Amino acid sequence: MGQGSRLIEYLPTVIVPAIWTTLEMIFVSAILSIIFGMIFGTVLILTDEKGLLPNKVIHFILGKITDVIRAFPTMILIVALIPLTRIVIGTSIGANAAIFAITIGCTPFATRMTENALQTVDSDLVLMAKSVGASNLQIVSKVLFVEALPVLVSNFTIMLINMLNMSAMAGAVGAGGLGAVALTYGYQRFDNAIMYFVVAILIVIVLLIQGLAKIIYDKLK
Amino acid sequence: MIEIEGLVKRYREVKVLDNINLKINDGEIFGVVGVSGVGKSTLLRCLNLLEQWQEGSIKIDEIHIKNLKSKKLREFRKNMGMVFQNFSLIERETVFQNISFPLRCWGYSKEEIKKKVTELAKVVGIEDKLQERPKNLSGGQKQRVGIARALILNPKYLLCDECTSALDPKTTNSILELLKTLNEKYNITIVVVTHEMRVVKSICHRMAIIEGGSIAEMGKVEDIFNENSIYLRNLTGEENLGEKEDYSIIKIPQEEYETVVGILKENKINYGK
Ligand SMILES: Nc1ncnc2c1ncn2[C@@H]1O[C@H](COP(=O)(O)OP(=O)(O)OP(=O)(O)O)[C@@H](O)[C@H]1O
Ligand SMILES: [Mg+2]
Repeated sequence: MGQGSRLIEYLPTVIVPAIWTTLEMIFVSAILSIIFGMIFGTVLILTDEKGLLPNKVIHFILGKITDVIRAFPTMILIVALIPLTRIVIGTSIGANAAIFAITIGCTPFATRMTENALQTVDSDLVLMAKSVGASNLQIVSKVLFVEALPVLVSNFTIMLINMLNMSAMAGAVGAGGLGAVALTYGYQRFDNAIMYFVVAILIVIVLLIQGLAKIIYDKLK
Repeated sequence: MIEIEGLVKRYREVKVLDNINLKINDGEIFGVVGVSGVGKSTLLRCLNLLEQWQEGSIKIDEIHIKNLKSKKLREFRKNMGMVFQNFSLIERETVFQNISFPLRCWGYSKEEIKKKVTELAKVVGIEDKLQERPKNLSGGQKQRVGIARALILNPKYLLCDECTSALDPKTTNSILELLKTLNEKYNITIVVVTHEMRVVKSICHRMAIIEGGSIAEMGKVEDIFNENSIYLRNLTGEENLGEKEDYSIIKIPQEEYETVVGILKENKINYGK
Protein backbone atom coordinates (compact mmCIF):
# COMPACT_ATOMS: atom_id res chain seq x y z
CA MET A 1 0.00 0.00 0.00
CA GLY A 2 1.29 3.44 -0.91
CA GLN A 3 2.17 5.83 1.84
CA GLY A 4 -0.74 7.83 3.08
CA SER A 5 -3.28 5.39 1.72
CA ARG A 6 -6.27 5.06 3.96
CA LEU A 7 -7.32 1.75 2.45
CA ILE A 8 -7.24 -0.19 5.73
CA GLU A 9 -9.13 2.50 7.53
CA TYR A 10 -11.79 2.77 4.85
CA LEU A 11 -12.21 -0.93 4.22
CA PRO A 12 -14.95 -1.63 6.78
CA THR A 13 -16.55 1.82 6.75
CA VAL A 14 -16.60 2.69 3.05
CA ILE A 15 -15.54 -0.14 0.76
CA VAL A 16 -17.48 -3.05 2.21
CA PRO A 17 -20.78 -1.11 2.28
CA ALA A 18 -20.04 0.04 -1.27
CA ILE A 19 -19.67 -3.58 -2.37
CA TRP A 20 -23.12 -4.32 -0.98
CA THR A 21 -24.62 -1.24 -2.62
CA THR A 22 -23.15 -2.25 -5.98
CA LEU A 23 -24.35 -5.84 -5.67
CA GLU A 24 -27.81 -4.62 -4.66
CA MET A 25 -27.96 -2.25 -7.63
CA ILE A 26 -26.91 -4.93 -10.09
CA PHE A 27 -29.10 -7.61 -8.58
CA VAL A 28 -32.31 -5.59 -8.50
CA SER A 29 -31.84 -3.93 -11.86
CA ALA A 30 -30.80 -7.24 -13.44
CA ILE A 31 -33.98 -8.90 -12.24
CA LEU A 32 -36.12 -6.02 -13.45
CA SER A 33 -34.34 -5.74 -16.82
CA ILE A 34 -34.54 -9.46 -17.39
CA ILE A 35 -38.25 -9.55 -16.62
CA PHE A 36 -39.03 -6.59 -18.88
CA GLY A 37 -36.53 -7.76 -21.51
CA MET A 38 -38.11 -11.21 -21.67
CA ILE A 39 -41.56 -9.68 -22.05
CA PHE A 40 -40.56 -7.19 -24.75
CA GLY A 41 -38.27 -9.70 -26.50
CA THR A 42 -41.15 -12.17 -26.65
CA VAL A 43 -43.45 -9.48 -28.02
CA LEU A 44 -40.86 -8.73 -30.73
CA ILE A 45 -40.67 -12.41 -31.68
CA LEU A 46 -44.44 -12.85 -31.66
CA THR A 47 -45.21 -9.72 -33.68
CA ASP A 48 -42.50 -10.40 -36.27
CA GLU A 49 -43.66 -10.81 -39.86
CA LYS A 50 -43.04 -14.55 -39.56
CA GLY A 51 -44.11 -14.73 -35.91
CA LEU A 52 -47.16 -16.25 -34.29
CA LEU A 53 -49.07 -12.96 -34.07
CA PRO A 54 -47.67 -10.71 -36.80
CA ASN A 55 -48.25 -7.03 -36.06
CA LYS A 56 -46.21 -4.51 -38.02
CA VAL A 57 -47.13 -1.48 -35.89
CA ILE A 58 -46.25 -2.95 -32.49
CA HIS A 59 -43.13 -4.60 -33.87
CA PHE A 60 -41.92 -1.39 -35.46
CA ILE A 61 -42.60 0.89 -32.48
CA LEU A 62 -41.10 -1.49 -29.91
CA GLY A 63 -38.08 -2.13 -32.11
CA LYS A 64 -37.45 1.58 -32.61
CA ILE A 65 -37.76 2.47 -28.91
CA THR A 66 -35.33 -0.34 -28.14
CA ASP A 67 -32.81 0.89 -30.68
CA VAL A 68 -33.08 4.53 -29.66
CA ILE A 69 -32.39 3.82 -26.00
CA ARG A 70 -29.53 1.52 -26.95
CA ALA A 71 -28.00 4.26 -29.09
CA PHE A 72 -27.43 6.50 -26.04
CA PRO A 73 -23.95 6.37 -24.56
CA THR A 74 -24.42 4.99 -21.04
CA MET A 75 -23.26 8.04 -19.16
CA ILE A 76 -25.39 10.41 -21.22
CA LEU A 77 -28.43 8.17 -20.80
CA ILE A 78 -28.05 8.21 -17.03
CA VAL A 79 -27.77 11.99 -16.99
CA ALA A 80 -30.59 12.43 -19.51
CA LEU A 81 -32.83 10.28 -17.33
CA ILE A 82 -32.30 12.43 -14.22
CA PRO A 83 -35.53 14.48 -14.59
CA LEU A 84 -37.56 11.31 -15.15
CA THR A 85 -35.79 9.58 -12.27
CA ARG A 86 -36.74 12.49 -10.00
CA ILE A 87 -40.38 12.19 -10.97
CA VAL A 88 -40.56 8.41 -10.55
CA ILE A 89 -38.23 7.78 -7.61
CA GLY A 90 -38.45 11.20 -5.96
CA THR A 91 -34.70 11.77 -6.02
CA SER A 92 -31.91 11.40 -8.52
CA ILE A 93 -29.28 10.19 -6.09
CA GLY A 94 -28.86 6.94 -4.21
CA ALA A 95 -29.21 3.29 -5.10
CA ASN A 96 -32.91 3.38 -6.02
CA ALA A 97 -32.37 6.16 -8.53
CA ALA A 98 -29.49 4.22 -10.02
CA ILE A 99 -31.57 1.04 -10.20
CA PHE A 100 -34.21 2.97 -12.12
CA ALA A 101 -31.70 4.38 -14.60
CA ILE A 102 -29.83 1.10 -15.06
CA THR A 103 -33.06 -0.82 -15.57
CA ILE A 104 -34.16 1.58 -18.29
CA GLY A 105 -30.70 1.46 -19.84
CA CYS A 106 -30.46 -2.33 -19.80
CA THR A 107 -34.01 -3.37 -20.66
CA PRO A 108 -33.49 -2.71 -24.39
CA PHE A 109 -30.33 -4.79 -24.24
CA ALA A 110 -32.18 -7.59 -22.45
CA THR A 111 -34.97 -7.27 -25.03
CA ARG A 112 -32.61 -7.82 -27.95
CA MET A 113 -30.80 -10.58 -26.06
CA THR A 114 -34.11 -12.37 -25.52
CA GLU A 115 -35.14 -11.86 -29.13
CA ASN A 116 -31.77 -13.16 -30.30
CA ALA A 117 -31.96 -16.24 -28.07
CA LEU A 118 -35.50 -17.12 -29.14
CA GLN A 119 -34.51 -16.72 -32.78
CA THR A 120 -32.03 -19.56 -32.41
CA VAL A 121 -34.90 -22.02 -31.95
CA ASP A 122 -35.59 -24.14 -35.04
CA SER A 123 -38.77 -22.85 -36.71
CA ASP A 124 -39.85 -26.44 -37.39
CA LEU A 125 -40.32 -26.84 -33.63
CA VAL A 126 -42.94 -24.11 -33.74
CA LEU A 127 -44.70 -25.91 -36.59
CA MET A 128 -44.52 -29.11 -34.59
CA ALA A 129 -46.08 -27.44 -31.55
CA LYS A 130 -48.83 -25.93 -33.68
CA SER A 131 -49.50 -29.31 -35.26
CA VAL A 132 -50.37 -30.84 -31.91
CA GLY A 133 -52.71 -27.98 -31.08
CA ALA A 134 -50.48 -26.03 -28.70
CA SER A 135 -51.60 -22.48 -27.95
CA ASN A 136 -49.31 -19.53 -28.60
CA LEU A 137 -48.61 -19.17 -24.90
CA GLN A 138 -47.65 -22.86 -24.74
CA ILE A 139 -45.41 -22.50 -27.78
CA VAL A 140 -43.59 -19.65 -26.07
CA SER A 141 -43.33 -21.24 -22.64
CA LYS A 142 -42.96 -24.93 -23.48
CA VAL A 143 -40.89 -24.69 -26.65
CA LEU A 144 -39.16 -21.38 -27.27
CA PHE A 145 -37.98 -20.64 -23.74
CA VAL A 146 -37.19 -24.28 -23.00
CA GLU A 147 -35.02 -24.68 -26.06
CA ALA A 148 -33.41 -21.23 -25.85
CA LEU A 149 -32.61 -21.31 -22.14
CA PRO A 150 -28.84 -21.93 -22.37
CA VAL A 151 -28.43 -19.18 -24.98
CA LEU A 152 -30.58 -16.93 -22.84
CA VAL A 153 -28.35 -17.53 -19.83
CA SER A 154 -25.17 -16.80 -21.73
CA ASN A 155 -26.72 -13.69 -23.29
CA PHE A 156 -27.83 -12.39 -19.91
CA THR A 157 -24.35 -12.96 -18.54
CA ILE A 158 -23.02 -10.46 -21.05
CA MET A 159 -25.74 -8.08 -19.93
CA LEU A 160 -24.88 -8.54 -16.26
CA ILE A 161 -21.28 -7.60 -16.88
CA ASN A 162 -22.45 -4.58 -18.82
CA MET A 163 -24.57 -3.67 -15.83
CA LEU A 164 -21.60 -3.70 -13.52
CA ASN A 165 -20.06 -1.23 -15.89
CA MET A 166 -23.15 0.94 -15.83
CA SER A 167 -23.45 0.85 -12.06
CA ALA A 168 -19.88 2.05 -11.77
CA MET A 169 -20.66 4.94 -14.10
CA ALA A 170 -23.84 5.72 -12.21
CA GLY A 171 -21.53 6.13 -9.23
CA ALA A 172 -20.26 9.31 -10.86
CA VAL A 173 -23.66 10.92 -10.62
CA GLY A 174 -24.53 10.08 -7.07
CA ALA A 175 -25.50 6.43 -7.16
CA GLY A 176 -23.00 5.33 -4.54
CA GLY A 177 -21.41 1.91 -4.69
CA LEU A 178 -17.95 0.88 -5.86
CA GLY A 179 -17.92 3.27 -8.79
CA ALA A 180 -18.44 6.21 -6.48
CA VAL A 181 -15.67 5.01 -4.14
CA ALA A 182 -13.19 4.61 -6.99
CA LEU A 183 -14.00 8.06 -8.30
CA THR A 184 -14.10 9.95 -4.99
CA TYR A 185 -11.07 8.38 -3.36
CA GLY A 186 -9.09 7.43 -6.41
CA TYR A 187 -9.76 10.16 -8.89
CA GLN A 188 -10.47 13.12 -6.67
CA ARG A 189 -8.20 12.34 -3.71
CA PHE A 190 -5.49 10.49 -5.61
CA ASP A 191 -5.54 7.50 -3.27
CA ASN A 192 -4.39 4.98 -5.88
CA ALA A 193 -4.41 2.06 -3.48
CA ILE A 194 -8.12 2.48 -2.91
CA MET A 195 -8.79 2.89 -6.61
CA TYR A 196 -6.87 -0.23 -7.61
CA PHE A 197 -8.40 -2.17 -4.76
CA VAL A 198 -11.86 -1.27 -6.04
CA VAL A 199 -10.84 -2.24 -9.56
CA ALA A 200 -9.65 -5.58 -8.20
CA ILE A 201 -13.00 -6.12 -6.51
CA LEU A 202 -14.80 -5.32 -9.76
CA ILE A 203 -12.63 -7.85 -11.58
CA VAL A 204 -13.43 -10.46 -8.95
CA ILE A 205 -17.16 -9.76 -9.32
CA VAL A 206 -16.90 -10.15 -13.11
CA LEU A 207 -15.03 -13.43 -12.72
CA LEU A 208 -17.60 -14.67 -10.22
CA ILE A 209 -20.50 -13.81 -12.51
CA GLN A 210 -18.81 -15.49 -15.44
CA GLY A 211 -17.86 -18.59 -13.47
CA LEU A 212 -21.34 -18.97 -12.06
CA ALA A 213 -22.89 -18.44 -15.48
CA LYS A 214 -20.60 -21.10 -16.96
CA ILE A 215 -21.69 -23.61 -14.34
CA ILE A 216 -25.37 -22.84 -14.96
CA TYR A 217 -24.88 -22.95 -18.74
CA ASP A 218 -23.16 -26.35 -18.60
CA LYS A 219 -25.91 -27.69 -16.37
CA LEU A 220 -28.60 -26.49 -18.77
CA LYS A 221 -26.94 -27.48 -22.01
CA MET B 1 -62.08 -38.96 -45.32
CA ILE B 2 -60.02 -36.11 -46.70
CA GLU B 3 -61.56 -34.32 -49.69
CA ILE B 4 -59.63 -31.65 -51.51
CA GLU B 5 -61.42 -29.71 -54.21
CA GLY B 6 -59.97 -27.13 -56.59
CA LEU B 7 -57.20 -26.17 -54.19
CA VAL B 8 -55.12 -23.19 -55.29
CA LYS B 9 -52.24 -21.87 -53.22
CA ARG B 10 -50.11 -18.87 -54.09
CA TYR B 11 -47.10 -17.32 -52.43
CA ARG B 12 -47.51 -13.72 -53.54
CA GLU B 13 -47.85 -14.06 -57.33
CA VAL B 14 -46.33 -17.53 -57.61
CA LYS B 15 -48.88 -20.31 -57.94
CA VAL B 16 -47.51 -23.24 -55.97
CA LEU B 17 -50.59 -25.45 -56.04
CA ASP B 18 -52.94 -25.21 -58.98
CA ASN B 19 -56.33 -26.85 -58.87
CA ILE B 20 -55.64 -29.91 -56.74
CA ASN B 21 -58.47 -32.43 -56.51
CA LEU B 22 -57.92 -35.37 -54.24
CA LYS B 23 -59.78 -37.84 -52.06
CA ILE B 24 -58.06 -39.85 -49.38
CA ASN B 25 -60.13 -42.65 -47.89
CA ASP B 26 -60.21 -43.74 -44.29
CA GLY B 27 -57.75 -46.48 -43.50
CA GLU B 28 -55.52 -46.02 -46.51
CA ILE B 29 -51.89 -45.05 -46.88
CA PHE B 30 -51.73 -42.38 -49.52
CA GLY B 31 -48.49 -41.26 -51.15
CA VAL B 32 -47.83 -37.82 -52.60
CA VAL B 33 -44.73 -37.67 -54.78
CA GLY B 34 -43.07 -35.09 -56.96
CA VAL B 35 -39.75 -33.39 -57.54
CA SER B 36 -38.30 -30.99 -55.02
CA GLY B 37 -40.09 -27.66 -54.76
CA VAL B 38 -43.25 -28.85 -56.47
CA GLY B 39 -45.41 -28.08 -53.44
CA LYS B 40 -45.73 -31.41 -51.63
CA SER B 41 -45.00 -30.01 -48.19
CA THR B 42 -47.26 -27.05 -48.86
CA LEU B 43 -50.12 -29.39 -49.73
CA LEU B 44 -49.57 -31.47 -46.62
CA ARG B 45 -49.49 -28.38 -44.41
CA CYS B 46 -52.80 -27.24 -45.80
CA LEU B 47 -54.32 -30.42 -44.37
CA ASN B 48 -53.73 -29.34 -40.78
CA LEU B 49 -54.00 -25.66 -41.55
CA LEU B 50 -50.37 -24.81 -41.00
CA GLU B 51 -50.83 -23.10 -44.35
CA GLN B 52 -53.81 -21.21 -45.69
CA TRP B 53 -54.83 -21.23 -49.34
CA GLN B 54 -56.61 -18.90 -51.75
CA GLU B 55 -59.16 -20.98 -53.63
CA GLY B 56 -60.90 -24.29 -53.26
CA SER B 57 -61.84 -26.32 -50.22
CA ILE B 58 -60.58 -29.04 -47.95
CA LYS B 59 -63.11 -31.16 -46.11
CA ILE B 60 -62.00 -33.58 -43.44
CA ASP B 61 -64.66 -35.89 -42.09
CA GLU B 62 -67.29 -33.68 -43.70
CA ILE B 63 -66.02 -30.51 -42.01
CA HIS B 64 -64.77 -27.55 -44.01
CA ILE B 65 -61.52 -26.76 -42.24
CA LYS B 66 -60.61 -23.44 -43.87
CA ASN B 67 -62.33 -21.20 -41.36
CA LEU B 68 -61.50 -23.06 -38.17
CA LYS B 69 -60.17 -20.64 -35.57
CA SER B 70 -58.51 -20.63 -32.13
CA LYS B 71 -59.88 -23.39 -29.84
CA LYS B 72 -61.74 -25.21 -32.65
CA LEU B 73 -58.62 -25.18 -34.79
CA ARG B 74 -56.49 -26.51 -31.95
CA GLU B 75 -59.01 -29.27 -31.25
CA PHE B 76 -59.05 -30.15 -34.95
CA ARG B 77 -55.27 -30.44 -35.04
CA LYS B 78 -55.35 -33.06 -32.27
CA ASN B 79 -56.81 -35.38 -34.85
CA MET B 80 -54.00 -34.78 -37.37
CA GLY B 81 -50.67 -36.14 -36.15
CA MET B 82 -47.65 -34.84 -38.03
CA VAL B 83 -44.20 -36.38 -38.50
CA PHE B 84 -41.27 -34.26 -39.67
CA GLN B 85 -38.24 -34.91 -41.86
CA ASN B 86 -35.75 -33.64 -39.30
CA PHE B 87 -37.70 -35.09 -36.38
CA SER B 88 -38.34 -31.71 -34.69
CA LEU B 89 -37.50 -32.91 -31.22
CA ILE B 90 -36.92 -30.60 -28.28
CA GLU B 91 -33.21 -31.23 -27.73
CA ARG B 92 -33.17 -30.10 -24.14
CA GLU B 93 -35.86 -32.54 -23.09
CA THR B 94 -35.82 -36.29 -22.67
CA VAL B 95 -37.57 -38.72 -24.99
CA PHE B 96 -40.30 -39.08 -22.38
CA GLN B 97 -40.85 -35.33 -22.23
CA ASN B 98 -40.83 -35.08 -26.00
CA ILE B 99 -43.47 -37.74 -26.44
CA SER B 100 -45.58 -36.25 -23.67
CA PHE B 101 -45.42 -32.73 -25.11
CA PRO B 102 -48.89 -32.86 -26.74
CA LEU B 103 -50.40 -34.33 -23.56
CA ARG B 104 -48.87 -31.57 -21.47
CA CYS B 105 -50.36 -29.01 -23.83
CA TRP B 106 -53.76 -30.57 -23.35
CA GLY B 107 -53.68 -30.75 -19.57
CA TYR B 108 -53.48 -34.50 -19.00
CA SER B 109 -52.67 -35.67 -15.47
CA LYS B 110 -49.24 -37.02 -14.53
CA GLU B 111 -50.55 -40.58 -14.19
CA GLU B 112 -52.31 -40.52 -17.56
CA ILE B 113 -49.20 -39.12 -19.20
CA LYS B 114 -46.98 -41.80 -17.71
CA LYS B 115 -49.37 -44.56 -18.73
CA LYS B 116 -49.90 -43.35 -22.29
CA VAL B 117 -46.24 -42.60 -22.97
CA THR B 118 -45.04 -45.95 -21.64
CA GLU B 119 -47.64 -47.80 -23.69
CA LEU B 120 -46.90 -45.99 -26.92
CA ALA B 121 -43.13 -46.18 -26.43
CA LYS B 122 -43.54 -49.97 -26.50
CA VAL B 123 -45.57 -49.82 -29.70
CA VAL B 124 -42.91 -47.81 -31.53
CA GLY B 125 -40.02 -49.66 -29.88
CA ILE B 126 -38.19 -47.05 -27.82
CA GLU B 127 -39.30 -48.06 -24.33
CA ASP B 128 -35.69 -48.41 -23.20
CA LYS B 129 -34.73 -44.87 -24.29
CA LEU B 130 -37.32 -42.82 -22.44
CA GLN B 131 -34.82 -41.04 -20.21
CA GLU B 132 -32.31 -40.30 -22.99
CA ARG B 133 -31.83 -36.96 -24.66
CA PRO B 134 -32.45 -36.88 -28.44
CA LYS B 135 -28.75 -36.25 -29.12
CA ASN B 136 -27.98 -39.75 -27.81
CA LEU B 137 -30.35 -41.44 -30.26
CA SER B 138 -29.82 -42.71 -33.80
CA GLY B 139 -31.82 -41.20 -36.64
CA GLY B 140 -34.23 -44.10 -36.69
CA GLN B 141 -34.80 -43.87 -32.95
CA LYS B 142 -35.39 -40.13 -33.23
CA GLN B 143 -38.04 -40.70 -35.84
CA ARG B 144 -39.70 -43.29 -33.63
CA VAL B 145 -39.94 -40.61 -30.97
CA GLY B 146 -41.38 -38.22 -33.57
CA ILE B 147 -43.96 -40.81 -34.57
CA ALA B 148 -44.87 -41.57 -30.96
CA ARG B 149 -45.38 -37.87 -30.28
CA ALA B 150 -47.58 -37.57 -33.37
CA LEU B 151 -49.70 -40.50 -32.18
CA ILE B 152 -50.01 -39.72 -28.49
CA LEU B 153 -53.30 -37.82 -28.86
CA ASN B 154 -54.84 -40.76 -30.77
CA PRO B 155 -55.22 -38.96 -34.10
CA LYS B 156 -57.22 -40.50 -36.89
CA TYR B 157 -54.77 -39.17 -39.46
CA LEU B 158 -51.00 -39.16 -39.64
CA LEU B 159 -49.25 -36.70 -41.95
CA CYS B 160 -45.66 -37.62 -42.80
CA ASP B 161 -43.46 -35.08 -44.57
CA GLU B 162 -40.36 -36.84 -45.93
CA CYS B 163 -40.27 -38.73 -42.68
CA THR B 164 -37.60 -41.15 -43.92
CA SER B 165 -35.52 -38.80 -46.07
CA ALA B 166 -32.93 -38.23 -43.36
CA LEU B 167 -32.47 -41.96 -42.76
CA ASP B 168 -30.35 -44.66 -44.36
CA PRO B 169 -32.12 -47.35 -46.44
CA LYS B 170 -32.15 -49.96 -43.70
CA THR B 171 -33.55 -47.61 -41.08
CA THR B 172 -36.04 -46.35 -43.64
CA ASN B 173 -37.35 -49.87 -44.03
CA SER B 174 -37.85 -50.27 -40.30
CA ILE B 175 -39.73 -46.98 -40.06
CA LEU B 176 -41.89 -47.92 -43.04
CA GLU B 177 -42.58 -51.24 -41.37
CA LEU B 178 -43.75 -49.35 -38.29
CA LEU B 179 -46.05 -47.07 -40.32
CA LYS B 180 -47.55 -50.09 -42.02
CA THR B 181 -48.20 -51.76 -38.68
CA LEU B 182 -49.82 -48.60 -37.29
CA ASN B 183 -52.07 -48.46 -40.33
CA GLU B 184 -53.07 -52.10 -40.15
CA LYS B 185 -53.37 -52.47 -36.41
CA TYR B 186 -54.83 -49.12 -35.41
CA ASN B 187 -56.49 -48.20 -38.70
CA ILE B 188 -54.71 -44.85 -38.89
CA THR B 189 -55.04 -43.08 -42.22
CA ILE B 190 -51.58 -42.04 -43.35
CA VAL B 191 -50.58 -39.40 -45.89
CA VAL B 192 -46.96 -39.78 -46.94
CA VAL B 193 -45.14 -37.03 -48.78
CA THR B 194 -41.88 -38.19 -50.31
CA HIS B 195 -39.53 -38.05 -53.24
CA GLU B 196 -38.35 -41.61 -52.60
CA MET B 197 -40.13 -44.05 -54.88
CA ARG B 198 -39.33 -47.02 -52.72
CA VAL B 199 -41.35 -45.47 -49.90
CA VAL B 200 -44.55 -45.31 -51.89
CA LYS B 201 -43.82 -48.64 -53.48
CA SER B 202 -43.41 -50.45 -50.22
CA ILE B 203 -46.25 -49.03 -48.13
CA CYS B 204 -48.76 -46.92 -50.06
CA HIS B 205 -52.07 -48.16 -51.39
CA ARG B 206 -52.70 -45.24 -53.69
CA MET B 207 -50.56 -42.35 -54.82
CA ALA B 208 -50.61 -39.03 -56.64
CA ILE B 209 -47.80 -37.56 -58.71
CA ILE B 210 -47.63 -33.79 -58.54
CA GLU B 211 -46.09 -31.87 -61.36
CA GLY B 212 -46.16 -28.14 -61.97
CA GLY B 213 -48.45 -27.66 -59.00
CA SER B 214 -51.19 -30.00 -60.16
CA ILE B 215 -51.85 -33.71 -60.04
CA ALA B 216 -50.38 -35.35 -63.11
CA GLU B 217 -51.39 -38.85 -62.22
CA MET B 218 -53.32 -40.59 -59.49
CA GLY B 219 -54.30 -44.16 -58.77
CA LYS B 220 -53.33 -47.47 -57.24
CA VAL B 221 -49.62 -47.78 -56.67
CA GLU B 222 -49.23 -51.01 -58.64
CA ASP B 223 -51.17 -49.60 -61.58
CA ILE B 224 -49.03 -46.51 -61.76
CA PHE B 225 -45.80 -48.47 -61.52
CA ASN B 226 -47.00 -50.97 -64.13
CA GLU B 227 -48.02 -48.26 -66.50
CA ASN B 228 -44.67 -46.53 -65.94
CA SER B 229 -45.83 -43.23 -67.41
CA ILE B 230 -43.62 -40.36 -68.43
CA TYR B 231 -44.38 -38.64 -65.10
CA LEU B 232 -43.17 -41.58 -63.12
CA ARG B 233 -40.08 -41.95 -65.28
CA ASN B 234 -39.34 -38.27 -64.74
CA LEU B 235 -39.22 -38.95 -61.06
CA THR B 236 -37.22 -42.13 -61.16
CA GLY B 237 -34.76 -41.08 -63.83
CA GLU B 238 -35.85 -43.50 -66.58
CA GLU B 239 -35.48 -46.60 -64.44
CA ASN B 240 -38.04 -49.22 -65.27
CA LEU B 241 -39.85 -49.57 -62.03
CA GLY B 242 -42.36 -52.07 -63.33
CA GLU B 243 -39.82 -54.83 -62.94
CA LYS B 244 -38.70 -56.24 -59.66
CA GLU B 245 -35.80 -54.29 -58.32
CA ASP B 246 -33.83 -54.24 -55.16
CA TYR B 247 -34.17 -50.70 -53.90
CA SER B 248 -31.85 -51.25 -51.00
CA ILE B 249 -28.92 -50.99 -53.38
CA ILE B 250 -28.11 -47.39 -54.19
CA LYS B 251 -27.44 -47.00 -57.89
CA ILE B 252 -24.54 -44.95 -59.05
CA PRO B 253 -24.70 -43.66 -62.64
CA GLN B 254 -22.10 -45.23 -64.94
CA GLU B 255 -19.93 -42.10 -65.50
CA GLU B 256 -19.90 -41.33 -61.83
CA TYR B 257 -18.87 -44.92 -61.15
CA GLU B 258 -15.98 -44.64 -63.61
CA THR B 259 -14.76 -41.44 -62.01
CA VAL B 260 -14.83 -42.96 -58.56
CA VAL B 261 -12.98 -46.06 -59.73
CA GLY B 262 -10.47 -43.79 -61.50
CA ILE B 263 -9.80 -41.86 -58.33
CA LEU B 264 -9.45 -45.03 -56.31
CA LYS B 265 -6.95 -46.47 -58.80
CA GLU B 266 -4.98 -43.28 -58.99
CA ASN B 267 -4.58 -43.24 -55.24
CA LYS B 268 -3.74 -46.96 -55.23
CA ILE B 269 -6.64 -47.69 -52.99
CA ASN B 270 -7.69 -51.28 -53.01
CA TYR B 271 -11.38 -51.26 -53.68
CA GLY B 272 -11.79 -54.96 -53.39
CA LYS B 273 -11.22 -56.38 -56.87
N1 LIG C 1 -43.14 -19.32 -47.09
C1 LIG C 1 -42.92 -19.35 -48.40
N2 LIG C 1 -42.86 -18.19 -49.11
C2 LIG C 1 -42.67 -18.21 -50.43
N3 LIG C 1 -42.51 -19.31 -51.16
C3 LIG C 1 -42.56 -20.49 -50.53
C4 LIG C 1 -42.76 -20.58 -49.11
N4 LIG C 1 -42.77 -21.89 -48.76
C5 LIG C 1 -42.57 -22.57 -49.89
N5 LIG C 1 -42.44 -21.75 -50.95
C6 LIG C 1 -42.24 -22.15 -52.35
O1 LIG C 1 -43.27 -23.02 -52.69
C7 LIG C 1 -42.79 -24.07 -53.50
C8 LIG C 1 -43.20 -25.40 -52.91
O2 LIG C 1 -42.52 -25.62 -51.70
P1 LIG C 1 -42.67 -26.97 -50.90
O3 LIG C 1 -41.82 -26.87 -49.70
O4 LIG C 1 -44.10 -27.26 -50.69
O5 LIG C 1 -42.06 -27.99 -51.93
P2 LIG C 1 -41.76 -29.55 -51.74
O6 LIG C 1 -42.40 -30.24 -52.86
O7 LIG C 1 -42.12 -29.96 -50.38
O8 LIG C 1 -40.20 -29.59 -51.93
P3 LIG C 1 -39.11 -30.53 -51.20
O9 LIG C 1 -39.17 -31.86 -51.83
O10 LIG C 1 -37.82 -29.83 -51.50
O11 LIG C 1 -39.44 -30.54 -49.74
C9 LIG C 1 -41.29 -23.89 -53.61
O12 LIG C 1 -40.99 -23.35 -54.86
C10 LIG C 1 -40.96 -22.92 -52.53
O13 LIG C 1 -39.91 -22.09 -52.93
MG1 LIG D 1 -41.01 -30.59 -48.69
